[in-house]
Amino acid sequence: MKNIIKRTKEALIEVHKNKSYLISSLIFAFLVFAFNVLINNYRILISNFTLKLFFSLLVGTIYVMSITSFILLIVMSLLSGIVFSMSIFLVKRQITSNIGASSSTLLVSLIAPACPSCAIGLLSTLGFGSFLAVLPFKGLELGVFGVILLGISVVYLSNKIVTKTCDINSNTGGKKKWKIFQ
Amino acid sequence: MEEHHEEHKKHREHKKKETVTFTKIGLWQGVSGVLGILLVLSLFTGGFGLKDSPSKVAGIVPSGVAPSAPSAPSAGITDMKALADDDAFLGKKDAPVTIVEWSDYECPFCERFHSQTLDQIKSQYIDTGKVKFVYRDFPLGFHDPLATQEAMAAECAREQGDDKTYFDFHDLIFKTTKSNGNGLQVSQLYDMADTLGLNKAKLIECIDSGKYKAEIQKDIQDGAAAGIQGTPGFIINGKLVSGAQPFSVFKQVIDAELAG
Repeated sequence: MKNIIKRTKEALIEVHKNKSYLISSLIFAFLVFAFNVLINNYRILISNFTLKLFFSLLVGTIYVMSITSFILLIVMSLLSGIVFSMSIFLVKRQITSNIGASSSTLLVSLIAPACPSCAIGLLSTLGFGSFLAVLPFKGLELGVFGVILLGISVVYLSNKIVTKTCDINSNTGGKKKWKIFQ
Repeated sequence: MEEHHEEHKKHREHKKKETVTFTKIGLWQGVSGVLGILLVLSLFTGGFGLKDSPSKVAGIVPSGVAPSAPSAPSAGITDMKALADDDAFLGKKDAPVTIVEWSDYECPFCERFHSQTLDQIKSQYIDTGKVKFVYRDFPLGFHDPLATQEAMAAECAREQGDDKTYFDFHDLIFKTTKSNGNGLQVSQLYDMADTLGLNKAKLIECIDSGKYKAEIQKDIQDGAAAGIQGTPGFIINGKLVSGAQPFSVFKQVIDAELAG
């Protein structure tokens, strides 16, 4: 556990010591946050667009969701930003093998933090609010699930960033293969 | 003949040993691709058409209008008179802007809108004749049975008076309830009749008869057809505003409607 924390910390520092990665993390985190809170009101935003309305809707987030959902959304947005920057960092270092995993996890951050009673998030917008309402914590569990997945993704990517040697014994260039027999 | 049989057998064995190999990234990329495609498809089909289409409820959106829209009405095409139905309202009947709210008495966010935002809308727009504010019920299943009982109680109170009686009862419910489906005892609901000088026995009889259940169901159906995805949800002159947004959001939308 200590080793995981150490590696993650090292990777975070290595990626974010470059200001452009720090900025890209923050921008992506903001985009995920904005997407989640504005998706339900995108029609009014398009038809009556003003910057004042845009910021009022963003600030309104504090009013339209519970503190727990709000904190989950902030954590998830920040983690998404970190995963995004780490992925770009790996692409630039030409260690591309984890980008698929990262992009799948990032999709979770666009879907997960839904709150059926306050109509927040993509699932509510797509009409799955009633499905979420059946869940014991009314969709909050998806937010927690999202944070866990993103956390795993950060740890996984950190490992790749910190590791600076190639696997000698691998004949697949470090890629694991799945075989399906026909 | 035997040779041919053996050859065929060999061919089958050879076929059996053929493998398809996926790299781990390939698998992840495939999954991401499929998820991405599903996401885009669901955006364009309104959740794969699983939602109630507007056409299911007559009178909300004129027929032939916005048939492919997932649910929410586009600006200017919604028949606000039909949306307002015959439900209780505040303000001038022919005000230039109509706000229809769908709300649940047990929803904490609806209570928040009621206590923090509605008063400002009332003083600046409803009392000045600029806005007509209609209240429609949208009790959520997980707040029932109390949410529906409260909605019926308010309708029963209206029966004994007028829209003012309705909103007095409505305000009292929101002031009393602690929300989330168990915010008050049903006996407290009955006692509100005494507080407001209504006939308590009549109110209890009305609630128990369930005569307003159909009316509440219609409110829910109309709300779903109008694009309401959660409570509170609002249609302001045909435009959907979702959630207990601060006053500044309502002010900008209402001002734009008054200006346009």
